[in-house]
Amino acid sequence: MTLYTVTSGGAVNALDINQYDQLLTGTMTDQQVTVANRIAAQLTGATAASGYVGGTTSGAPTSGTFAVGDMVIDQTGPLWVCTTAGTPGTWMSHWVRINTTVLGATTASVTWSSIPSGYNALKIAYHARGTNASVAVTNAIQFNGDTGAHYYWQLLEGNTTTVVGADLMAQTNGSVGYTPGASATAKLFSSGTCVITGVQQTADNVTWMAMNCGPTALTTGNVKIGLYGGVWAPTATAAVTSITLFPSAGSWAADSTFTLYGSP
Amino acid sequence: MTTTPDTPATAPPPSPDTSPPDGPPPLRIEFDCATGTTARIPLTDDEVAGQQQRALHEAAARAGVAAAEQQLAADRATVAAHAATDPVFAAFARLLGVRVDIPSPDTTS
Repeated sequence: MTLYTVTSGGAVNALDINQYDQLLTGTMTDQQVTVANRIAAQLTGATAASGYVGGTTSGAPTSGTFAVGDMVIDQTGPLWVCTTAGTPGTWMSHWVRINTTVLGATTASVTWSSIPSGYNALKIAYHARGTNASVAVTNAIQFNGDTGAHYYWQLLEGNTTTVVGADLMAQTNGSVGYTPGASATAKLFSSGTCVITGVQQTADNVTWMAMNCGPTALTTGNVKIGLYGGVWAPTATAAVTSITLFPSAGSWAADSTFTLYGSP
Repeated sequence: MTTTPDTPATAPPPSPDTSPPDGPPPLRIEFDCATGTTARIPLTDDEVAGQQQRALHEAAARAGVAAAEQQLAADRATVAAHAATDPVFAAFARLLGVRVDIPSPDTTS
């Protein structure tokens, strides 16, 4: 249905009222309602000030005057809430799930490319198993497709009362964990998270920190946990636009799941 | 009283399969965050070769960790054996926070 204008001085009839009602109730679905103001709701139990005030292409508003409780939709994913009124005020946001990839079949690697520039920190969560004919493999990581010897990392792995460490300098990939391979007990997968900070600091190196549980058998000494952290120091520093995760040998097994989150 | 030094129960380092893969090259998945599209792309010959190279690196790294674990176990055994016969050494080791099974002075004969 096409909207029309009721001109000044014209008679308001029932059709005008019906059109207005249909817009508000959603009966009319082919027209959008644009409001150059705040859309507020105050149901019982949630009566503090709040309002949807529009969107940005990326990030919190940088101009305009806003009130506490105003909410903005960032087209790259996050929601922003104004916590201190002002011009443009103070805004807070949250971690956003950018993508979850669940493998339906054996896959050599998982890459997230064209990562939006609006995120200053990234986080990975995974549930993984390898296909390599070994007890375990290392969960390797590369940034921006860099396969050069630019990764410097340290691990601390523990099982029973033993903790061991190692550092690996000038490697062609980093590591974020330890995952059961094809020789491990069936149905065992690793679980891990990795936080990568400063991903938009183009003049700095990128550092990651990960923790992981990589069980390879349900027997003492084989439910290993570990910490894995390191630095990506490429020849030319750059913002992180791409992340690839792959097992150090073989491929990821089906059902392995990888999620990427971003924090503005 | 005898002491039982810690012995790592770690499985031997994995032995990567470095033989060339059979069949078609494996796929990799790429999710484009800008477009929201997922592509499944066969590995190139270079990427397959890279997998083999990484397997070798993995074996070397795990061998290094295994060697460190063995050395740690040997060191702990040495400390524990010494502590079992030298209460003063055992006391200092405990004071320094050495994580070995050191007999308590009041139970050593």
